[in-house]
Amino acid sequence: MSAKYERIKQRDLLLPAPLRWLTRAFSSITLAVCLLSIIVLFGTVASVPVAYLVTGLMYAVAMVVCVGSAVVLGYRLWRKHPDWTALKRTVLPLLLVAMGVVLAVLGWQWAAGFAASHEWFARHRATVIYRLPMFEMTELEFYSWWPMKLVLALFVLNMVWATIRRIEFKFVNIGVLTVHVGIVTIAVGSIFYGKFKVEGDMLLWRQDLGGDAVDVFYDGTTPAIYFTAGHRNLMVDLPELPRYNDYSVEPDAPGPKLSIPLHEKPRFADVLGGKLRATIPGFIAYGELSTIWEDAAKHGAEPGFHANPAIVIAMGEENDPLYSTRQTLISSIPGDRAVDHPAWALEYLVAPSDERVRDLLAPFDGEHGLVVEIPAANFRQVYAIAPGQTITAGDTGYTITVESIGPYGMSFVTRGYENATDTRAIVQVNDGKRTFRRMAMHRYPERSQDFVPAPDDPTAGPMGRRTAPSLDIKLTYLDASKPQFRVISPTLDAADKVLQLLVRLPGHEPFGGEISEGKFPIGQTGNQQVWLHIVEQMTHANRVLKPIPTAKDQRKPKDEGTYIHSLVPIDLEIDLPDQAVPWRRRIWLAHMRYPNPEYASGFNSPRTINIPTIGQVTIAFSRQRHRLPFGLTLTDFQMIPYPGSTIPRDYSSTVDIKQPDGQTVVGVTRLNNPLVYHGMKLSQTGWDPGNTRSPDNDARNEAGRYINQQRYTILGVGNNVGIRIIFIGSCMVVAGIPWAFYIKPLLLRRRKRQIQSELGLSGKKD
Amino acid sequence: MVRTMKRQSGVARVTLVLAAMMLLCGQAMAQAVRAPEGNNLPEPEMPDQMNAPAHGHSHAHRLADDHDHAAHALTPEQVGAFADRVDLSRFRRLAIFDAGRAKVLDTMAREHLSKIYGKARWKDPITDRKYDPVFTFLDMQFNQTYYIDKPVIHVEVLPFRRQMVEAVVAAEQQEKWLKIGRLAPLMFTDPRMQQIIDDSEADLLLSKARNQVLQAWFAFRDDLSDMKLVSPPAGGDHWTRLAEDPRGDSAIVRTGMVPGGGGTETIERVRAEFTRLAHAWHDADADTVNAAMNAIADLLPQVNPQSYPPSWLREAEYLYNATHKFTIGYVVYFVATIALLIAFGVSRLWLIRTGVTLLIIGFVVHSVGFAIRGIISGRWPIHNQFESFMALSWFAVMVGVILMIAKKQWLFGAAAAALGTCSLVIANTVDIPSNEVAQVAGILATSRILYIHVNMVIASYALIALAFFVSLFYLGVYYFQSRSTVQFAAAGLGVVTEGSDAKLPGPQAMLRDLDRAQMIVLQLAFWLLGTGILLGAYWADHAWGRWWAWDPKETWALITWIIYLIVIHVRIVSKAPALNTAWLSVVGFFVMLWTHWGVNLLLAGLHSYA
Repeated sequence: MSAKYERIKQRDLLLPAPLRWLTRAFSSITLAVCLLSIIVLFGTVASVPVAYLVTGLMYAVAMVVCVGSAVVLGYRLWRKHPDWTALKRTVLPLLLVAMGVVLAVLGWQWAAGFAASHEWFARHRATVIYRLPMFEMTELEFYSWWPMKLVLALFVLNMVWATIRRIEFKFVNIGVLTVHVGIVTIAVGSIFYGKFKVEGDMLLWRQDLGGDAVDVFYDGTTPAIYFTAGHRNLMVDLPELPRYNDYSVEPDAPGPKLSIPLHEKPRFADVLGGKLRATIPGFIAYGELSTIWEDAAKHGAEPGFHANPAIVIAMGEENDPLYSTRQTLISSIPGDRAVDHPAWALEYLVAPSDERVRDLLAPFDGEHGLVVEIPAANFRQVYAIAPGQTITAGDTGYTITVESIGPYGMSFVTRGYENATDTRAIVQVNDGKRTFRRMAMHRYPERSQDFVPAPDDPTAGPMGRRTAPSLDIKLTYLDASKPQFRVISPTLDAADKVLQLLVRLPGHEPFGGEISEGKFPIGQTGNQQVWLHIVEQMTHANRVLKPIPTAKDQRKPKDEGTYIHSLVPIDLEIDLPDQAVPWRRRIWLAHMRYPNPEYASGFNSPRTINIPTIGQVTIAFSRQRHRLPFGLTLTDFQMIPYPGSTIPRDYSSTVDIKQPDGQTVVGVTRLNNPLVYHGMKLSQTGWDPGNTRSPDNDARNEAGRYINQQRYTILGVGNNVGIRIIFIGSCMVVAGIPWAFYIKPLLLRRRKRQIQSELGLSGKKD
Repeated sequence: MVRTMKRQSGVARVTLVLAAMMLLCGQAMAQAVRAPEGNNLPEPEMPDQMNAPAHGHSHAHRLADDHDHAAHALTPEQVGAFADRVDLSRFRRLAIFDAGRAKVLDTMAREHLSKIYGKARWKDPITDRKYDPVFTFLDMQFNQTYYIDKPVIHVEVLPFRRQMVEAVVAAEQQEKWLKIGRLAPLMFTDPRMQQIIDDSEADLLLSKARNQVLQAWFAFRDDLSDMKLVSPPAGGDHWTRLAEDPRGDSAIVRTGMVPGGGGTETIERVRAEFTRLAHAWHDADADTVNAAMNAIADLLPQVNPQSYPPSWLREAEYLYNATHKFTIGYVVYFVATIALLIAFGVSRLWLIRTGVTLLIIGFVVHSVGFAIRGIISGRWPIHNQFESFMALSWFAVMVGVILMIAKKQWLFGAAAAALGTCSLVIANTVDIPSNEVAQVAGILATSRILYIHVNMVIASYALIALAFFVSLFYLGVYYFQSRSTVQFAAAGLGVVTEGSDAKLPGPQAMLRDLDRAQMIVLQLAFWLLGTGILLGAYWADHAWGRWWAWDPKETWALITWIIYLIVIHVRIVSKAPALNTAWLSVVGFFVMLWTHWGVNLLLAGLHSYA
């Protein structure tokens, strides 16, 4: 205890008791140690997932209780019995410790088993405390939460008060004083920093590709909803929107609930009128919007609704259809009515024509068949075919040479057949007068085509000019290179009807029958038979947009809490003058990183809705927008690779900065070399690698600049209020510590030697 | 890497099917004796083939021209005999440009095998013989069908492996394949296998496992003719393939057989030698193989000698590989530790001198390894977990040695030797992430502040580790104040009695000296860590625009610092400051380990590369 503190303590005795206690408490180093320990605990709880915290605690308890107590007991035994032989005195305590270790290992095994058998631990493997529904904070928000602020404030107060009362203000103590003042300075700077810090990012397109000047950036944390009605725009900040947990829109569903009235936000009524009510009734933190097929009949199909039969299939064991995700096959959409597995294929057909059924049942040997029909000659014959084979169609005069057999090669792009795949046989047909090629399709025979030789036609492809198939000869290719299953509904009204199954196995005649109990075996995995289950039959399949939450274990931890996969529902409601019931709609919005329509992608787009009495309103879910005091235009961007490679080493964005007075200055920002302008720091944070799968990714324009990659840059934007104060405080801490540790003892030793020499004593002993 | 994996995932299925069919064709040709009738492909009888007595040696390589594949089937024993006669000493030191840097073929082969097989040395399951990585690498190039029914493709994640094995292996063989951890390339021809790989693409839990398997598969299919062996002409930095026309960037000539195209006369000779090598390898003609490899080793450096890595550098890299990145230095450290501990126990100066000498030898080995890593990577090697771990232990040993010599207190040497032993054993046996030399993320490559920040933090961690061992000394003396303990500590502190009790100081004097020793280290660690953290904050503000983000690594570095801040303040108020310091030093060491390792492995954050 310093002499100064002794003197002050004496003077404290004059103070009334509570004040004396308070002042002594805040002069206490023990309090500082306790507060520091609380900060350590807070940091631990805030950074380690709760599942690890609990399991870690269990391990620690097992360790402390078993090993700790064994060590203490063993040590006491050793100390208390100096009379024992050395062997006995060593072995017995060691045995105790060994027993403790064994018990601790058993305890750990129990703890590991306990954690493995409780789903809670698996679910919360990446859940840090601030992600729990009762907190729903960002990392920064949690560390700025009032308990942490209180502890830090108490620590600073304690340090200041203890410094004033305990430490002599002498030159020799300048080190510790500097460190303490430095810590206070950092604290003061941090208050400013936290209060005024704004940060986010902006995307800039290259000017030569049409990029304009941008004078806004989007917040790193706060989400916002954007409304556009005509020329009126509204941004509604949503700092209260959750970010980690799902909140069901169903009132009866278990779990936390949410209701954020947007119409109570400032300017909402000015822009959208006072009658519209908009509420966020729930939230999906991580999911996707998906169009799914629902049976409209079950939800009350409207009159005049066209039949649209569909089946929902799933694979699995004989009595368990949960092996794979379910899939809906829609008979009316060619691309959606078939499944093409590498080992088998399945097609759902509704009311196929008799002719088609006859073709599908046509027997032939081998893996490929061709049905040849020549209506004029009343000729029909089924042939097994192989490449190079020539068929003479009886005495019709037709000869058919098989050129090749195989997959069509790519998905169809023909309207109505998008994403459909098929196999085909290319044959050369000679009718005695002319020769042409026919591409005969297997699953979609109506897509078969002829290719007529046209050497003078520059638009013709290498196979010839593409035409509709000649009606003089009909060729139907049948692919039996792998098992082909066809689920057939005899009538349009599919629901409640028994389905037929038609199977063609390679090298076997086709066979068919009814599908009993809605399932049939489709293949073998290892020793297990895989069954295909018809899970549902629909008569009126109707496509609807549904939010699908992503399973917890399928969420990327680094994306959680960033909103990039989040979905927000908005309930819109407006009273109409001539209607008893208000007009209501619910729309789902997927998050957009930038709310601009040009950056829309798939469902991550603004939604436009026609609201009675208001008109068309476009709504987008994105991030809070901040305005910059200047505009930025990206004039150049370069990814700089390591020499001789394509591995990025640096990125360089060259921008024109347009000031409000119209003047333009040029700035460059690179990795670790940000551009600072008007108090805003612009850091290089993202770039456009293009589509690395595309062979055109390296294409350049005449000026030698990439046109399919490096088209845009993403710059981090932020201010830095108070950073200089923090910097000064940091320098004080860094400079003060070595003074306190190394220079002060030197000075004290020198002073001691001086005193000793003045007193005539030897200075050898310190 | 991410982009590569995305590209791979996109084309994975198609490529797998095609490649698998190619392999099957090769196998069918190779196994002409037991080829099935007609045009049918052989049934994949994976598990049994592992133990089949005769194996195809088809040499369906892509650098050689068409050859009679079936006629030269070698048994595993013959392959072993061939391997014995092949002299790879010069060929393994050839330079090759891969993953953004020029390296020796030996490194490339090790990395390649590690990617495919999970280990750098392939073990033949029939003969139980382990092969040189370069031999296996070349054998897989020129004789790939030999491997298609062997356990080659590493499937690291057990649930994924189980799915695959259960899909394609007969029940009685499944356990065996599960234990091996590697699957035969032939198994990947099964459509069910492809289905499993396809299905795992959308599964976050399995996507990493899938990427690993695809990486292994693609590495197995890598083609030597695609590898960049020709150094750039003067002033250039673009290495080229042997089969590439140096006049055009993308005019790659790959007929699938003998590489052709333009190039200098020397390149043409190299190509010819490669063809000779491939044929000779096919015929297991070791003499011709050796002659061709030596010719290639002579010719390739002559193509563009000014840009070809110098022989001393290639030699150094080979030495680095051969010595397990110099981690074998742990043997010397270990002997030094034992010598010093015995020396303290018996208090003999000659034994102390022996221990110190060994420690310095170990440190030299450690330093050479660290320096070569720096030379190979072209930077101060602190950019990833392996490098920071090695730098940490190197710095700790260096400080320990300096303190030992400066203070003549041998316990610093013992602490340094023990720490060196532990760290090099870990580096030698544990697969620390990023242990291969590779280019680093741009953000790390373009900052000078980073060097100071990381070095200071690493140095502080090193000192914390050193202080931990000194504090253990303290605790030992404090709790076991017997004569032997005091003698042990006294020798550590430089008071060597040579068996006599005359000079033996009392326990309290020992404890006072030990406390001073631990404080010397801890004070420096405290300052370095504090400064390192603040420099990191400065760097973060500069690079990312925010000086403090409560990222887990930042938080835990601060917590580590606070532990030592508590030490300083506890010493003021505690009645047993030295004892509390020693205990807190032990706690601080484990907190530092968590900060350095646990946070990286278990907590996601901005420092995941560190």
